This record gives sequence, C-alpha cells and structure tokens, in this order.
Amino acid sequence: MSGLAEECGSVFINCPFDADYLPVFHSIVFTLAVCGLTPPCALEHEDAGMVRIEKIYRLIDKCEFGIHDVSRTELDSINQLPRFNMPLELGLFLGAKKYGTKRHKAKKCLILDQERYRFQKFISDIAGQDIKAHERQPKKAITAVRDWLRGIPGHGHLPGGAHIWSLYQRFRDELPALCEATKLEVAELVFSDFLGLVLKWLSDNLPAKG
Amino acid sequence: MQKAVKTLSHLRRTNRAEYERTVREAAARANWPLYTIKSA
Repeated sequence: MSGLAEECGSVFINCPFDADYLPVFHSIVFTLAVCGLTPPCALEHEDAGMVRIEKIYRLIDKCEFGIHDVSRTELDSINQLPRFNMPLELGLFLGAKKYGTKRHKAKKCLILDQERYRFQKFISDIAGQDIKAHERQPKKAITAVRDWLRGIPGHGHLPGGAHIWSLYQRFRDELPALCEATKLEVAELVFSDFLGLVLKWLSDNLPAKG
Repeated sequence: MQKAVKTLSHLRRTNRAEYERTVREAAARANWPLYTIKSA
C-alpha cells in the first residue's frame, strides 16, 4: 500500500447508500484501501444522537479528499421527486474548499456520474470540476478513482486500474466464504464490517511496501 | 477475521481445487455472482 493516508488524510464518500449502488460503492472503498486511504463515509458514524447534517459537517471538515457521486437523479416512484442529498453534500464540500481555512482550501474532490457530460443537464454549475463517468460499472469506478488519486501530487506509485480490478474481483469472489468464516452475512454487511474485511484481505494479499 | 483471510489465502496457494470449491459453495449459498471462478 502507498503511504498516501499518512500524508494526506482520509476520504469523504458522498454517494447513494442502497442495494443498486452497492457494487460501485464497494469497488470505490476497495480502491481507496488499496491506495492507502481510509474512507470514513457517513455510514461509519451511526450515532443516533447526532443530527445527520452535523455528521456531514464533521466529515467534510475532517477529510482532505471527497468523492461525490451525483448519478442518482431518478425520480422517487412514490413522490416523483429526486434525491438531493448528494448534490447538497457536494455543495457543502465545494463551499468548504472555497471559503474555509488554508487546510480546507487544499481539499480535492472527484465527482462521479453515470454518463459523461450528463451533469450538464441538471447541475451545470459544476462544470470545470474533475468529473468522471462510471456507467454504474465497478471496473470503471475503480479506474476513475485510481486515476484521480494518481493525478494528485505528493504521493508515490499506485497500482494501475486493471491490477486493482483484478484484485477486487478475487476479493469479491471470496467475500461470501470470508463472511461465513467470520459469522457475518454477506447480504447484511455494514460498512465497518466490509471495510474491516477489505483491510484484512489486503494486508494478506498485497505485497508489503518496500 | 484475520485468521479467516489467512486460511483462505493459504488454501488458494496450496490447494486450488479445494479453494475454488470453498469459494463457489459459499457464493452459491449466498446467491452471490462470481467474477473469476466458474460456477459449478
């Protein structure tokens, strides 16, 4: 693993948290872990006593990096309204970067959508940011995240997207067996369980940094 | 958790057929699609 986490802090992941998005979410978390970063997304902080927006403020304040996925724009089948949480949290992140302290201004973010340039039809003000399309495919999400991290100055070598994808496929195949052995249900993994499995798996399957 | 990871990694290195059977059967029980190992 690289030493990026020690040098640069952690990553705020702002994305849909539902079953449809889970394969992409898992691939992003895995890629960040391979690259030595810790992803403390909002799911990790399940303190019922804290107002959700306060959790978001704290995470944005703490994290030097942000990955924001604005792909979930479909209308809710009952209310016929879209979900606005992801664009709101992206706005908070960009606001912190624009108006915050020197540390906040140094924040870096990647914006993901399902198709290239689709954002222009519903959130055109973000033009000029680093926006990549994943087409809801974990393989493309892995490459987008890895290439974005590689473009940030100040860190060493990172394995290529194809290599990370290869590792991810093997990890993903082994996940049900690992869950059985650790008395976990693969379909009910919470974020901290998933991240724990990823980190343990990588510690045993990635060569130590030389 | 670490022990489970090490056990499976060791199996992969030492007995590929048994490793694939373990992975395949656990995936089948979980109704989990596999990327690199063919289903039985």
